[in-house]
Amino acid sequence: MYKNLSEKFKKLVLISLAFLAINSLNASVIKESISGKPVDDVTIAAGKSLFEGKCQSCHALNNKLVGPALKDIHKRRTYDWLSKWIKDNEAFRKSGDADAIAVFEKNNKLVMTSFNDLKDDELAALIMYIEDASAGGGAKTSATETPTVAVAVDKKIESRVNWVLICLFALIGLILFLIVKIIEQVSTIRGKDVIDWNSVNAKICLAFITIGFIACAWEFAVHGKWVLPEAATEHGRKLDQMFNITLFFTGIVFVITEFLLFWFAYKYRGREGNKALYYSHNHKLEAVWTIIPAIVLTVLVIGGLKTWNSITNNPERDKNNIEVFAYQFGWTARYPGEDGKLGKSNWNLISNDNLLGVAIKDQAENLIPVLEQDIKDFEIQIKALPTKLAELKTSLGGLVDDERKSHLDKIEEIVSGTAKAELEKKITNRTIQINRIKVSLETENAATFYDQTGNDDIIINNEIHIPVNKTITFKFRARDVIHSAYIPMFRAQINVVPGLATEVVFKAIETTKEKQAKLNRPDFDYWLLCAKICGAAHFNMKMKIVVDTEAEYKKWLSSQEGAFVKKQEMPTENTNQKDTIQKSLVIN
Amino acid sequence: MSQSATANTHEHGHDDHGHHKESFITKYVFSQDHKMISKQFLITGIVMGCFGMLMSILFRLQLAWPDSSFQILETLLGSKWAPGGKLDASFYMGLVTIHGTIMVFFVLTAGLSGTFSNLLIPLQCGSRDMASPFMNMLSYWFFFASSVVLTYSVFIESGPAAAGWTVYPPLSALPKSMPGSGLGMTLWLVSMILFIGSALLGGINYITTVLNMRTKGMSMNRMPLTIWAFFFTAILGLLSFPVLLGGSLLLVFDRSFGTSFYLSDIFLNGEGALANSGGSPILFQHLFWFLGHPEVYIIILPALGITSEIIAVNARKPIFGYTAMVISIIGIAFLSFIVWGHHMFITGMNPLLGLVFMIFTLIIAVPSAVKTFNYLATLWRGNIQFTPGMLFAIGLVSFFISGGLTGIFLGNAAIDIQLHDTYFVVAHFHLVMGCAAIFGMMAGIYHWYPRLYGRTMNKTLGYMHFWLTFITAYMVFFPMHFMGLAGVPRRYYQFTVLPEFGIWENVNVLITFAAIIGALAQLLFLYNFFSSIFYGRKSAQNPWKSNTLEWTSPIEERLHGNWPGAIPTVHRWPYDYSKPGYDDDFIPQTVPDDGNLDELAHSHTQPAEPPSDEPKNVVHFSTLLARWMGLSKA
Repeated sequence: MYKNLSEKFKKLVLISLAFLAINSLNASVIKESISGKPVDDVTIAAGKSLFEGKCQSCHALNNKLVGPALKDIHKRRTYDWLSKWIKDNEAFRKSGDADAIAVFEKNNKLVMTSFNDLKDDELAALIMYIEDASAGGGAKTSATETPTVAVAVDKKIESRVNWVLICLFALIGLILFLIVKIIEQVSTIRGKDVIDWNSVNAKICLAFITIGFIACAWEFAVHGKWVLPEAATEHGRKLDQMFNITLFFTGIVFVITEFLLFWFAYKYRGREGNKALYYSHNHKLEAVWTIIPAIVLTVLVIGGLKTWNSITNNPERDKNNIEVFAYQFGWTARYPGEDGKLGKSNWNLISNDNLLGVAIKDQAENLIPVLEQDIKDFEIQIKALPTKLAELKTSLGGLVDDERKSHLDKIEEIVSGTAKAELEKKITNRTIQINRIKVSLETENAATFYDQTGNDDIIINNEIHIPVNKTITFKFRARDVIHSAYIPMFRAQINVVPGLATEVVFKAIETTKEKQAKLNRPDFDYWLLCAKICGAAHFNMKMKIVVDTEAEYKKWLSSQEGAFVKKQEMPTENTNQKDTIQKSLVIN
Repeated sequence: MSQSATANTHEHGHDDHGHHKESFITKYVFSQDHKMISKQFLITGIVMGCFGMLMSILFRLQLAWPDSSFQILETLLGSKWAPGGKLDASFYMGLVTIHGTIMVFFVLTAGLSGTFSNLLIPLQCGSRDMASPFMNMLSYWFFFASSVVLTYSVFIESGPAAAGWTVYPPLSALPKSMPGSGLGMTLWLVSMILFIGSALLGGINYITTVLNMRTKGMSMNRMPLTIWAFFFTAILGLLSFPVLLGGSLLLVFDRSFGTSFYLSDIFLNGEGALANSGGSPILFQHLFWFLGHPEVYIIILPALGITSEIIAVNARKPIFGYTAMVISIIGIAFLSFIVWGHHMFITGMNPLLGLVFMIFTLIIAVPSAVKTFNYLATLWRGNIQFTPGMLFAIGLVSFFISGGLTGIFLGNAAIDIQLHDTYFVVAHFHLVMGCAAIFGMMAGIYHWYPRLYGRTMNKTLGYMHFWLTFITAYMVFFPMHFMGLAGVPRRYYQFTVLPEFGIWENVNVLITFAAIIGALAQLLFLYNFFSSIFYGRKSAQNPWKSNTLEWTSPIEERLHGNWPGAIPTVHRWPYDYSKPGYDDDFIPQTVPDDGNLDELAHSHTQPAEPPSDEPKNVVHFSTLLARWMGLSKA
C-alpha cells in the first residue's frame, strides 16, 4: 500500500508541476483591476513577491489559515476598503466601519499586523496579484498552493480507498472476534487452554524481531535518504560527525539488546515441567555492564563537550553582525550599513515607520506626539463610553444570534468596567513609554544610545544574503513571544527571546548555487524556520537565506537602500554625524 | 497453602476496622479505602486517556490530509473549530497542547502512579491502609476536580490553552498573542494547581506509608521493586511539584495582576504590551523543567517498578541484581534533579551551563543501561509465562531501549542544536516516556486486575490488544526519527512551509493509518476492561503464583483493612522463584525460612531471622550499600 501511495504521489507531483509550468506560461488572465491601475505582468509579479513576504504566513488563497481565505476578496470589498484595512486595520475599526468590525469579530478578534509602510503602488500590485491568482492566473507557485492541486486530483480515489479499507478492517475485526469466542468456548469445555499461548507468543516475538529488523533496515534505506543533505556550514560538519559517532554506538547497543530481549523471550518460553534457573545476582557481571556503558558514554561526553565548545565559543564571533528580528509571524533582517555597525535599538521606539525600534533620534522625537495623540484619543473614548453604552442598548432590539451576542458582550464589557480599565491601561503604558523615550533623549547617555550608527542600517524583508566562507554572526531579537531560529541546512538553532539577546555564529562553506548543483535540484534553497511554538501561523514562519559568493554579495548589498537615510534631515550641529550620513548618501 | 499457617501464628486479630457498614457514598464515591481510590484513579485515568487519544487522532488526520476536508469534523466540532471540515490552525495548537497535558499529567502521572501506588503500597508492604486515608481521598478528589476543569476548558468559546503543554510565556502570558491564551490558559493553570495539590497529598501519603507502616519482617531490603519505585516516585513528586506550583502562580500573577516575572520588551499588536519590564521568559523554563524533568521519571519509574515485578513473576526467576536495581532507581532519582537544563540547551542559556547539564544527562544512561541489562538477565534461562501482563512488560523494555538510546543524541548539547524541537524529539519522548509508560500501565492493569476486581481479563483479547498496539506504536513513532533528521520542526499544522517537506506527507498518511489502527485496538482493551468487571472469569486467589503480600489478602471480599485476621509477617525477600530444593516454583514472602540454603541462594534470605522487636521502620541503607560494595558478606 505504501509503495503505491508513494508512486501515486510522484505522479501527482509531476502532474501538478506540469500544470504549473503551463500556467506560468500564460500570465495575467485579468484585464482590469479594482485598483484602477493598468494590468501588467511585472506588477503582478511584484504583488506576488509582496504576498509571499507579508501575507502568506497568515493567509492562503483557497483556505483559511490564521486569517480568512483571500480568493475573490476584490469581489467582496472595494479597493478603498481593502487599502484602509491593510494599512491600519485597528484605526479603521475605531473609525466605526461596520464591515471592519464584523471581520474582526468573525476571526476570533485576532488583530492583523498593520502594514503602514506599504506604498500605494505596492498595495495596488498586491491586490492585482490576488485578483489574478483568484482567476486562476499565472503566478501560482507558492508552496502552500502546490499540494492543494495535487490532492484535489487525488481526493476521489483516496476517499474510495478509505471506505474499502474501513470495511476491510471491520470484517477482519468481526472474524477475529468470532475466533476468540470459539477458542474460549472450547477452552471452557475442555477446562484447559486449547492453544499453547506461551509457544504462540514466543513465536510471534521471534517473528516480530525478525520483521522488525527488516523493517528498520528498510526505513534506513528509504527514509534514510530523505534526511538532510550534508551540512552547509563548517560547524555543521562537526555536528554531523558527532551524530554519526553516536549513531554508531547506539546502533550496536540497539541491535544487540533488542535482539537478546526477543530471543530470550522466544528461547526461554514457558514449558510445562520446566523450572527456571535460580540466579539472583552476579556482581562481576553487573560491574561489567556498568563499566562498559560508562566508558562509551565518557567517549560520547568528551566528543560532545569538544563539539559544543567549538560551536559556542567561536573566536571570530561579532565580526560580521546581521540582526535577525522575529515577530508573529515572520522575520526581518537588519544589516549594518557602510559603517559596519548595527545601530542600537529598543522596543519602546517601535513604530510604524521604525518596525525594529532602531535608535534614530528624530524618529524617537516624532514618536512622542504620536503617542500623545493616542492618549488623547483614548481619553475621548473613555468619556464616550456611557454614550456608546446607550447606543448599544437601543440598537440591541431586533438583533439575533451572533450579532446579538457580540452586542451583549460589548455591553457587558462597558458595564463591568473592563472596557474602561483596558483603555486606562493603554494610557498608562503609553505614558510610561513617552517617559522612557524622553529619558533616553535627555540623559547623558543619549549621545551613546543615539550614536548615529543605525542611520545607514539596511532593512530586508524578503531574503537574507550572506557571503560564503566568512564567519557571520546572526544577532537575534524578538518583539512579542519566543521564537526559535532554525536553519536546518546550517545545523544552527537558537531561541529568539524577547528581552534576551541570542546569537548564532557560523561559516557557510557552500553557496546556494553550489549546493543546488551538487544536489541536482535547482529549486533548492536554505531556509530559516521557526521551531518554537509561537501562535497559530507558527508552521508558516520562514525566510529564505541565500549564500552568495563574495562578489555577488557585495553587488547585492550595494543595491540595497539604507532604511533611514532618505528620511533623515541633514543635521547641522554634529559634524561627525554629518560625515556618516554624507558617506551613506554617496553610496546610495 | 502456607500463608494460612503464617496467619495462624498471629492469632490476635486486632484493629479489624473493615467490618462496619458502609453506605453507597462512603463505599464508592467518597471512599477512604485505598483499593477503591486506586480504582477511581484508574478509571478516571482511562477516561482521560481516551480523550487524549481521540485528540491525537484528530490532529493526525490534519497532518496526513492537510488539504482534504472531513465533513464529519465540522458536524462534530462545529464550524468554528473545523470550518469546512478542516481543523482550524488555532484549534490544532489547542489539541496538541491538551493532548500533551492529559497524557503527561492525567494519564501517566495520576492514572499510572496514582493507581498502582494506591493499590500496591499498602498491600505489598502489609498495612491496612494508607497512613492517612482521608488525605488519600482528598488526593483523588483534587485530581478529579482538576480533570473536570481541564476537560471543560476544551469546550469554551475562545478555545483551550494552545501554547504547547510546556506553556512557555510570553505566548501563554499574553492573552492577545493567541486565542488559547485567554480563558483557556487560565483554566489550564487552575487545573494544574489542583493537580499539584493532588500529587502532593498523594506523595506525602505514599512516603509515610512506605517508611512507617510496613509489616513485621518487611525490612527495606525485602520490599518488592514496585514499592522502591513508587517510593522514589513520590519523593521526586514531593520535591519537584511545588516548584511548578510556584512557577504557575507567578504566571497567574503575570497574566492577571500586571506583574512581569516572565515578561520584558514586549510589543504586540501594534503597541507596547507592558508598563513594566525586566522579567525573563527563561525563568519560567527553569521553573517548569525543574519539575518537568523529574516528571519524566515520575512517569517512567513506576512503570519500571511494575515491569520488574511482572518480569520476575512470569519468568519464574528472581529479579536479577535486586540491589543494583534499587541503586539504579536511587541514582536515576537523584540525577533527575540536576539535568533539567538539557531541555534548554538552545534557549540562549550560558553555554557553560549546557556543558554541565550535558555531562549529568549522559550519566543517567548508565543506571538506565544497568536496568535494561538486568531485565535481560532475568529473562535468561527463565520459564517465561506469556500472560498479557508479561507481554506488555517485555514491550516496555523494548520501548525503553529504542527510546532511551535516542536520548543519548538529544542529551548531547551539540547534536541537540540540530534536533531540538524537531520530530526526532517527538519520536524520542513518545517511545521512552509515552509508549513505555503506557505499556507499564497496561502490564500493571492486566497483572493486578484480579487484585482489583476479583476477576481476570480475557486473555485472547489481551494478546490481540498487545500485538496490535505494539506494532502500530512502532509504526507511528519510528518514522518520526527520520522526519526529525530531515529538519521538520514539531507542532507544525501542516508540512507545506517548504517544498521538500512535501515528501513527508506521504509518510504522515502511513503514520495516521497506524495511529487509527492503534486507537481501534484500544477499543478491545476498553471492552475487555469494562466487561470483565462484571462478566470476567472468577480469578484464583493467587492467579500468577506470585510471592508478594497482595495475593494473601482475600481478593473476593474487598475488605477495608485488607486482611481479615492479623497482618501476615514477612520472612523472606519477594523473589524466591524456582528456588532449588522446593517443589513449587514460588515461595511466598510469608513462608518462614527453614534454613535450607544453597550456594545460589540470595544473601537476603538469612536463616531463621527471629521476629525481632526492633522498630520496623529502620532503613537499612547502610547494609544495602555495604552489600553493593561487597564489603559485608552475610
